[in-house]
Amino acid sequence: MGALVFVFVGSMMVGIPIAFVIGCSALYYFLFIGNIPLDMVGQKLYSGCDNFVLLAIPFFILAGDLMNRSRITDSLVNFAKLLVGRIPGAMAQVAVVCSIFFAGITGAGVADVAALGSVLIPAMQKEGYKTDYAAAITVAGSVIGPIIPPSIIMVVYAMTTGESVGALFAAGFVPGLSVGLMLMIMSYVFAIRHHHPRRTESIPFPVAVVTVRKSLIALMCPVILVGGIFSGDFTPTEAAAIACFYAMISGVFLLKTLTFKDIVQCFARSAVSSSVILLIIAMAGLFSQVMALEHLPRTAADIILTITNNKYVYLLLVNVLLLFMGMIMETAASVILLAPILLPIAIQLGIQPLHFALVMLVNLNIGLITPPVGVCLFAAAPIAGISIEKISKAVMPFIFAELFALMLITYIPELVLVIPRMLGFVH
Amino acid sequence: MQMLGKLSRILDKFAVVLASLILAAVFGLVMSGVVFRITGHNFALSEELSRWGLISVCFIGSSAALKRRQHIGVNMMLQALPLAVGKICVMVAYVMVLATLVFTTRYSLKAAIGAEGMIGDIVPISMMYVKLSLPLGMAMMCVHLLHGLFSIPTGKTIGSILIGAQEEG
Repeated sequence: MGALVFVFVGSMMVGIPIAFVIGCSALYYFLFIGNIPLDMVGQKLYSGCDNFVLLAIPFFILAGDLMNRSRITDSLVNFAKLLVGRIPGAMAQVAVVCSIFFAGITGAGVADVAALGSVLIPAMQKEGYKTDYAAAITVAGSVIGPIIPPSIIMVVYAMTTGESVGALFAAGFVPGLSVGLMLMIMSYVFAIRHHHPRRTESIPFPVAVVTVRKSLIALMCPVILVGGIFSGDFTPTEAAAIACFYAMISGVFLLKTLTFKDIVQCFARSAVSSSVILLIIAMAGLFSQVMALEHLPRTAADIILTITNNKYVYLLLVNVLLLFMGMIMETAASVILLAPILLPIAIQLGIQPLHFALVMLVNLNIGLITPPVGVCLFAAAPIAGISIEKISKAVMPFIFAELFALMLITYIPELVLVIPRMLGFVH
Repeated sequence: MQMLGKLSRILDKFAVVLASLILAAVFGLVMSGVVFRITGHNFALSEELSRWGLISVCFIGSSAALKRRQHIGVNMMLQALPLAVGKICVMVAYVMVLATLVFTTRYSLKAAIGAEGMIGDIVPISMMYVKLSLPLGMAMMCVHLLHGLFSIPTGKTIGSILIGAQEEG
């Protein structure tokens, strides 16, 4: 077992991509520890991603990409300005609200940073905000992306644990909004301290109507997606495909900003981007065999239950572990490797599985912005034109705000369960 | 070396075109499934064909992602090392991934050939054709890796010779 851990950590340290780290470690186990016939390798890789639900992943990426190409960002920013422009630190508040809107379209944090950062960071600089602060609030807001549905990571979690995608989507709303609210409060505090500007003049009614009308095209996308799933009319995969169709129609005919060439490029980019996550899932199919043969979930349960059998202490321990993992490991890989180990213990301790899922997912998503390897920091640095170190420092207060939201979600389960309960996912 | 580079570029273009076409076809299939269901018809082929398409997108798209350095890895430590030491580490990484891929290509090809007599639950097509996308994608990845491996000695920075991009989420 020690050798397996050495191979896993060692291969990660020499820069092997996570998917191959998982595959390489599994093969090492098959060859040198478990003496398992290698004939099963092909079948395990195939069955690892032979799942209709996983099709939602390329479609979520495609829908987000099509919407981005349709240049909807400007209309969403204007709509957010209309909503929160009069609050102190207006542009920072706009950045958070835009992240919430974008979360309903893209389902991935990096996409939010790329789309919003290129518009919001220069706009904030123009209004006199410091560049590192502008980048930090944009990056911090990107954590909301994978929490509010649609969410790629929730699909991965659902596939790993057998939880309902619809239930996870329903559970994501309040935690996502809680994170957003904490960020808005923190921005407010900064605005008061540093005298950040806000809009003082009112927007004329006809201008407001046009702004709302333009933004509605973009805001209908999450309504179709989530509404289709919750109504039971469509599976998550079908809803994702319909969202893509809607994005194409609105981009070509309503916004008139999307060309055939754009659509072709979106398909190409989505196919390649989604394969990165899909390969991790396929390779994890191999590694799940190792976990089963080594009885990893049971061993971990035995160890943890000797430390504590109090569910609140367990949740605290899990949060500490996941924050650490989020700093060094890719989110999907963390979910695939850790959820099968941690979830059974949570259930044994009487924690609602859906509640545990959201604690885990919110926590791991904070890892997107935590140094040293928070990917959203890396995405924002070239857009803002400053170093990762500067953004890392500036984002710290916002990380603390998000950790506070995480603690609320962890210790007030009803925040997670209220909407699933209303929709009948939890009884 | 030049031949390998050319082959790697051709395979990359081929993989992107093929993966995009398959994704577009899968999109069409899923949408058709929805339309057929709404209009009260049955389109049972949709789900099975879509799943097969997804598997092809996964492995063929992955080869293009490897060429474009989109696979996610933790490279921060490597970037901090002196160039010569970093190059050795990167070389070790290439060899380990290549070894993994050689094994997986071999055994997925064996699984594909072994599935010749099997057909899909609904679509009467030999599963061999479906499963061949695994060794095809992995073989293409091997070509890209070999090209990358031979490019290491001439690499001027660690960033230019890495297998994966910085960690992503």
